[in-house]
Amino acid sequence: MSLLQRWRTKNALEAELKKQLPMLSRIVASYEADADLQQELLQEVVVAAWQASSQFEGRAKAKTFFARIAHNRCVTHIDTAVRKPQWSGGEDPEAIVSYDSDKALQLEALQKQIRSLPLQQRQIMTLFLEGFSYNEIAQVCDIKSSNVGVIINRTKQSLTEFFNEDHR
Amino acid sequence: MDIQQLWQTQQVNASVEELIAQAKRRQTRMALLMLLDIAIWAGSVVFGALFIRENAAPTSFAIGLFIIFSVSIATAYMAWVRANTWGADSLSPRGLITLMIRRAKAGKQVVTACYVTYLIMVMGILLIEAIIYGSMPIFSLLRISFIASFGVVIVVVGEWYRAKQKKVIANLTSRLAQLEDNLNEPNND
Repeated sequence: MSLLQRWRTKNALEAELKKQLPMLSRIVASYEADADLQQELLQEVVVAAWQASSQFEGRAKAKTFFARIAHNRCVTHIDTAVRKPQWSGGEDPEAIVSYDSDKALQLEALQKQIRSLPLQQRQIMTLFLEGFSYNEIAQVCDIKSSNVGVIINRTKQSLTEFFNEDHR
Repeated sequence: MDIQQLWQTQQVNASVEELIAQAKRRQTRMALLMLLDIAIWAGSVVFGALFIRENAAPTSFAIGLFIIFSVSIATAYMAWVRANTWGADSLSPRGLITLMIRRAKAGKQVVTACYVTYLIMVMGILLIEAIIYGSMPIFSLLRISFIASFGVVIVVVGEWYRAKQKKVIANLTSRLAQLEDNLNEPNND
């Protein structure tokens, strides 16, 4: 790849990174409850995405590429987080856009449910909630798309049941 | 309720420009640190070589050699760590965890390699001294206490690092098992 092409790709990736930041922050929120740690982790994710951008070959969508990096950084972040004081409970109100308090409560409950899922399920569900296709999820998580379908159906059902029972 | 729609209502609460600028600064700092590693290595090698050339004391050759060896091992380790962490996040989650386990295992092996290197260096330097000066090296109290205290420091740091890597391996292995287990769960749908 020529220098000019590299520069163009980097610029395009920077624009894409800006566009995908809300998704990255939601992925971060699926791992970390504490608002300060969320902020710190988001910074880590952006740094990792920027560092890895030289390896982006354009075979997958940039969105998929960034989602994979975010999940990977979050998985490895758990090591750092366990050494810090545990979260005492309660979301930071600023971390949630409270345009509607009911919605904010529901969102908080959804985030808690997602965070309580086992690692693989959590990764798959956050990608599904972000609107990724089964094939894209399979690509990010490096598993078969048939397994993605099974996990999504199973988790979606339990989440829907939870919301129907407790958060009507 | 559409959980997908609900999930996407959460918006980012940070400045995009600031985050990207920070990432760029971190990348520049990383490159500068790598240059600094190389500069320190080159400077120490030149210093060690000059120390040997000066030959001010009977132990000059041994000390010069010790400086060159130690700094080369430390630089090689730093280069290995930086090269292994750069851009590794673009791997698959399973690939990344496997890589991190391998790195932690390699970290444990580095400790053993350090012990062996130290032993070889001490023996080697004494042997070189004996060959060059044609006599058995003098085991003064100062020399013995230097070798022993340096050895104790290496073992203490080495064991602390090894214990840390052991914890990391246990943690990552359980995470890898979590990823694998989830796929083997029966489908109850």
